[in-house]
Amino acid sequence: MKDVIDVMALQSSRRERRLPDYRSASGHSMATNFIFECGIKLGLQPATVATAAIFYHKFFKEADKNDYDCYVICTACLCAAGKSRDEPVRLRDAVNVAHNSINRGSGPLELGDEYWSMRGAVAQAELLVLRLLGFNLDSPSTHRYLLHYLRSLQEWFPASQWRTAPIARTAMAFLQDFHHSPAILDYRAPHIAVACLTLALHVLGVSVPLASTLDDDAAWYSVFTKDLQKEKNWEIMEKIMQVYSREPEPI
Amino acid sequence: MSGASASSTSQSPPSMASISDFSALFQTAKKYEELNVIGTGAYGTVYKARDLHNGGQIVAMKKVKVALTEDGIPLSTLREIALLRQLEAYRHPNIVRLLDVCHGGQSVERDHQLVLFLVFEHVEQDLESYLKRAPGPLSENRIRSMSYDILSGVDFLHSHRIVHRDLKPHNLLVTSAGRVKLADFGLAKTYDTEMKLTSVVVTLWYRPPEVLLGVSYNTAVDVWSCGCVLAQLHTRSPLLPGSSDSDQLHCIFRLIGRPPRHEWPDNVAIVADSFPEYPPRDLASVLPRAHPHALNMIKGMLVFDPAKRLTALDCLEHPYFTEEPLT
Ligand SMILES: Nc1ncnc2c1ncn2[C@@H]1O[C@H](COP(=O)(O)OP(=O)(O)O)[C@@H](O)[C@H]1O
Ligand SMILES: [Mg+2]
Repeated sequence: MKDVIDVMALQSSRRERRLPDYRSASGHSMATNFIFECGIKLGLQPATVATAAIFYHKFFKEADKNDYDCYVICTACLCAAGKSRDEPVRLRDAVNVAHNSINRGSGPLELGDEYWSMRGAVAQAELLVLRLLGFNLDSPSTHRYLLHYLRSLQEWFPASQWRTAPIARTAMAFLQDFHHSPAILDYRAPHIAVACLTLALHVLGVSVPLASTLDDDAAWYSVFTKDLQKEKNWEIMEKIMQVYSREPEPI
Repeated sequence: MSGASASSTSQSPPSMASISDFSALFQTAKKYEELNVIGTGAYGTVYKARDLHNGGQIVAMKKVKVALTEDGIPLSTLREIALLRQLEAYRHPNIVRLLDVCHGGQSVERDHQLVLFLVFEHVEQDLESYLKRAPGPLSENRIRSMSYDILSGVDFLHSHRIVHRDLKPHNLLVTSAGRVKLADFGLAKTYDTEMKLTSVVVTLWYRPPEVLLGVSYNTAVDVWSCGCVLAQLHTRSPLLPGSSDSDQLHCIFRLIGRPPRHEWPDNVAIVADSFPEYPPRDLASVLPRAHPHALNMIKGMLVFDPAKRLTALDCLEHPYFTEEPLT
């Protein structure tokens, strides 16, 4: 349990850290951070940004990371995810946001050669992403599962306890952060949702009311998903925790 | 942007990586060797092709041109293709398998067009040629099982909120085992661009009255078209071969009778009175060989008011299919 609480500390300390410097980041170490930063700046829904991250991980399951410009692909993944979830972003906005995130403090990109070449590259990369994904753009509805589980779980708790412990916010944060890891592709949506929930409960030191009356105190989530073994749940939780020690510290 | 190469330790200002290297990957069409044209429709050309990466398996490759917008691939196209991919997961027996989707990359020279390749399983022939080649009338069992196949495919699309909009023998494929599979659907918005090849005449014979009258329509259009096709299975010739929009309506009303005025939709340019008061014909005289259950069902499909038409699911549960087991 101590491990888990340390993760919580890590999670919040990461939040306070200064903005990443994408220019000096090595290789793809900051790719998903970039997707999340740009996605938020573009005003995309969390599930859409998460979809972009999934597209990114899927793309580089097929393609070699050395062959493609990391941030061009990331920007293209945001564009494709926006369209696939009916939340399109203007290519122009995507290019500007990407440029400003990479070149912090520089003004808006002038409509010059640099703009046009970046825009062309992102447009081409979007087609390439679609190609490599074979147009399979169905995103797992992990967010919806988690919301649904949270809503059910809330009814088991006394209102006062639910209000004092930020279970929903913590679980959602774990889910969003898990999208930094390609391991997200390895598990089914309901399982990931349960793992985020379990981890949040552990971290907050909350136990599910009446769970102790069950033979197995992990059995509460069998109401949500029947085929998740305890070991598998732990495995996913570990993968989530690994996200917080994943990246090299920026210089 | 920063180079993603191994040498990214360098601190030189990031430049836009050249994406021209992508072209190699865009040669995806190279995965398939085109053999010959098997169909040219209003919006695309279908080739018989060999899947070079899959033991030379024969496939049907449909080439569709898409106009790219200022923001790249149009949202509607992207969503339609993604939906086709999603449907594929169900592997419905009466829907043609979609094996792959690729594209030839962007051709900047040709006005920002994208050539999409939809790769389908190759099916022996379409229903049009099947009916043409049939040596004599189809057996009652064959008609019933083909009717069931078509309606199952339509019901499947409707349950996924897809309206086919162009059901006709050319868009129904018949396997060597005699099973029917639906093709050519799901790209309505992609097609609605200016990419239409003008020379091809679109057949009106399977169009329901609401489409011909230009009022809004829904899944019931497909049931009408199915009714026309099912009738054609009995006679091997089209039920309502109109020669123009207005002639098509005359053909329809000569068969089902001119609808009563209160059923005529509001806000249409053509008034009911511009048609003679055709009385309805007895469908049994048009389809003399058809089973009474078949006649009853087809009659329920060819109803003027779309709201009163049977649904595909109603048809599947009709005594025509339930009273005797399908063989
Ligand atoms: N999977 C397939 N196998 C065999 N023939 C096909 C296949 N798909 C289409 N065809 C043939 O090509 C023709 C045109 O294909 P279709 O998808 O209907 O394109 P269009 O939009 O141009 O009508 C069909 O009428 C049919 O004869
Ligand atoms: Mg066709």
